[in-house]
Amino acid sequence: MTNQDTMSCRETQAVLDELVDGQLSAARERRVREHLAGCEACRHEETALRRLLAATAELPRSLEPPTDLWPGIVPRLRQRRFATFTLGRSSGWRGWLLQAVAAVVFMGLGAVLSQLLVSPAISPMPGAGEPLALGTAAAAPAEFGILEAEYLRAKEDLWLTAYRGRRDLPPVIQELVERNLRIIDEAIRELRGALQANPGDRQLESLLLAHHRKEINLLQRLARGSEV
Amino acid sequence: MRSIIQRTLCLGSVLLVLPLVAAAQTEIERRVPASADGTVAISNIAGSVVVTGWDRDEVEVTGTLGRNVEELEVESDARGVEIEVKLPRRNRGGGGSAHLEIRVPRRSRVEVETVSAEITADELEGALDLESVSGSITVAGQPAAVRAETVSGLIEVEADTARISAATVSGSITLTGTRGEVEAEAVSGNITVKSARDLERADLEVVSGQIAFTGSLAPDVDFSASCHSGTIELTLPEATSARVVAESFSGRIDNEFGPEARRVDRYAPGKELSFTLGSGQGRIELETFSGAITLRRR
Repeated sequence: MTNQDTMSCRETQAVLDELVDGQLSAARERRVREHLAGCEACRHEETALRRLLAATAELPRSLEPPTDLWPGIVPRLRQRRFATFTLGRSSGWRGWLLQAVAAVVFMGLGAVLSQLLVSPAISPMPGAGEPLALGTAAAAPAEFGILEAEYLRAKEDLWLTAYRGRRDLPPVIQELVERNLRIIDEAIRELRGALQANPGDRQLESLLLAHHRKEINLLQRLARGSEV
Repeated sequence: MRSIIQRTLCLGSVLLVLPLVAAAQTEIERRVPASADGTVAISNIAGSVVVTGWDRDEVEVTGTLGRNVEELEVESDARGVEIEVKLPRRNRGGGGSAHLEIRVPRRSRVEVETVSAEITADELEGALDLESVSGSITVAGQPAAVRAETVSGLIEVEADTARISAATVSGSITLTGTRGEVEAEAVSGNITVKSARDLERADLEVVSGQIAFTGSLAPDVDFSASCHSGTIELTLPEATSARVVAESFSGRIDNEFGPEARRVDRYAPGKELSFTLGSGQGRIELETFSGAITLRRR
């Protein structure tokens, strides 16, 4: 195996979804599996993803969504606000700066998440407001709600782990990142509104989950400088 | 007399300033051995990083360091070469920039991280992993693969490479002469793919920017493009062979290849278009929430 064929952890984890779904080309899958054979951290990520998918596949279709999910999240956000964050490497300014960017972003995201949690009109899950009529044949499948909950949980984790690193940040970058998070947030609100009017619309569900993923990718990219 | 004094004071000021200006920047020239296909990792904050391939088994670093740069660290071992611009912990007064010109063995794997420094890579054949916050990234040559990420910087890749992964938040991404596989993602920036050649796989995603594609696709292409409020415009040759599916919740779908989009449901605004080009071997999937989708015939 030449140096050119070796995949990094970043590259590998970026395609784990496709690996698990069997959507990689043969050559690419070979490279991914070669990396996994030698990387315990990435194997752990793959195992966690497969377990999640297996768990959602076993859920009955008529499962009523949990109604007590969101009231539990807000207290957890407040309790974990000062969670310890350990830098993956000691490369001073770089990890510091990107951590600072992530922290400022996450402060904005925290406000956004709070809005989502307390505003019944745009609640992502039943329980915080008027419940969606799930559990019927025409409604969104249970796994969509569960996947969305997982994405929101991932955002929560990203926000909390970077909170402590808030420092000075170039104003132009701070404003730019916050503006783009608002763009994604607005897109998510539009999609959620459309989905409430058109429950079970697979295209809308797909777009909504894609936007959650984009938001997480943005947050992960900002925080990644302190993890590698 | 007065003008003599004034001229003397002026000349004296210039003479005083010149050494300070000279001291503000430090010329550098360093060389270390490197393996022909090892890893060269470079980090800089501000300024520029220009990486060029050459045929020697060594890494050469030249350029200038700003007055607030603490040091330039260049280390070489079995794992590869690391080049890092180090600033003092409390970098006040600015000037902490470095303009680096780095020559590396052509088949090196090159990793570059900057904050605002521009990154340029050319004449390289190894894999490139380039990341900046606000600096632009420009790639030419024949790298084996390119991964480029910015927050606000521009990304321009005009290279003969089989694999490109590009991501930005608000910058724009321009890929020219792309072949093989391409992934590109932006939030508010635009993605432009020009003169693609027999592209095998593409995954293009934008939230509020635009996606524009021109070029040819491989017969078994796997092509997907997704926008929320931006537009998607594909210009394809007549000989394209693919099954095309385009969906939009509330945007227009225009198709120069013939078939028209239809309403998904008489009570819902969504439209979809599904038809076959050529033998339908490949797959083209396009979706937007409110942006328009346009298929043009080249």
